[in-house]
Amino acid sequence: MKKEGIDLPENKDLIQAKKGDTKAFDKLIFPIIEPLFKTMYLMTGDRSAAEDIVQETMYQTFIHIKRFDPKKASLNTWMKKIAINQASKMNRKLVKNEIYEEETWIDKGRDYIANEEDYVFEELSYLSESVRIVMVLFYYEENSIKEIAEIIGISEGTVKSRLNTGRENLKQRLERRKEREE
Amino acid sequence: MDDKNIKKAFQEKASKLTPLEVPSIASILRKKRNKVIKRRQIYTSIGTVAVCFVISFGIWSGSDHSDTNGTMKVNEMYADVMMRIQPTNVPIMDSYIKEDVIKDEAIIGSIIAKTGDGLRDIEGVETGIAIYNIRESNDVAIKLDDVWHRFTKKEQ
Repeated sequence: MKKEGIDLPENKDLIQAKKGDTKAFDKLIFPIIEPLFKTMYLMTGDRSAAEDIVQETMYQTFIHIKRFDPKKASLNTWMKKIAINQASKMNRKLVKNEIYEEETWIDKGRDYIANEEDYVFEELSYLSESVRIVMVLFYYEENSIKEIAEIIGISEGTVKSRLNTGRENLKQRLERRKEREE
Repeated sequence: MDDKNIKKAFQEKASKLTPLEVPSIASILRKKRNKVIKRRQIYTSIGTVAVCFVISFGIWSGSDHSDTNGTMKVNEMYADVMMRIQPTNVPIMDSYIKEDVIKDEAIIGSIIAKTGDGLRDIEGVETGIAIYNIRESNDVAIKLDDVWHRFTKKEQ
């Protein structure tokens, strides 16, 4: 994984944050938060759940920042790990049908015509949480299999298997949908 | 269905999301602290009520209810009698009434009013109901006093 400026052990903000400086901490994690929020939203399908997870992740990161070792993992990966654990803890289900409909169709008004991407995303919401997490990390974040394995704490083989399951299930669901519509 | 479609679906969805107003860690810490304080306050309130209840019950059960000088206030005594008349005590009260330990019709009426259906079948119910209506009068207080002494005597 590429080492970014914030992950260098000599980063001033990191040193200050480890001493409990809240401003330095804010500065340090600011670039990570927005992408993390989007990832969590895609995983849960619920904006408020994603916000809760991000806030809890920020809190947990601040509390345990002393334990963070930039030599072992990047701050981004570390926070993503915490966020995924938080998501599981909160026992939030993946994108719920009602929430998706509300945000995709109703908000756009009656004239909105759903496109193929909308259908793909809707069908993705029916996949199991473990599969969806892998799908989001792979397709949206464009992480490698190795990186995903590291973030979730599973083997690379399991990542591959979950990706395969996700793709297959998605394909089947979309085909069934097409048949229903015909 | 290819990889590009899946990628595009995620990107489309993420791009339509209104940006998050990133809170500062200081505000999150403040919120957390307030939450803890609130929770503590709730637990303290519950604890205080529980302790008060236990202390009151202890004082009540440990106190000497027989006031030989007759100085106990009527309301307190009445409350004491009523406290003892729980549905579980119905058979005991029933036997007291049958054995003429409690003769006073006012107190019988009060018992009936308090315990409801539990005493419907015992003797003196009808009289009790009639007398119950006058239980607030001063005369009743004197009768209550007598009944109370008899009641406690029987218990001893």
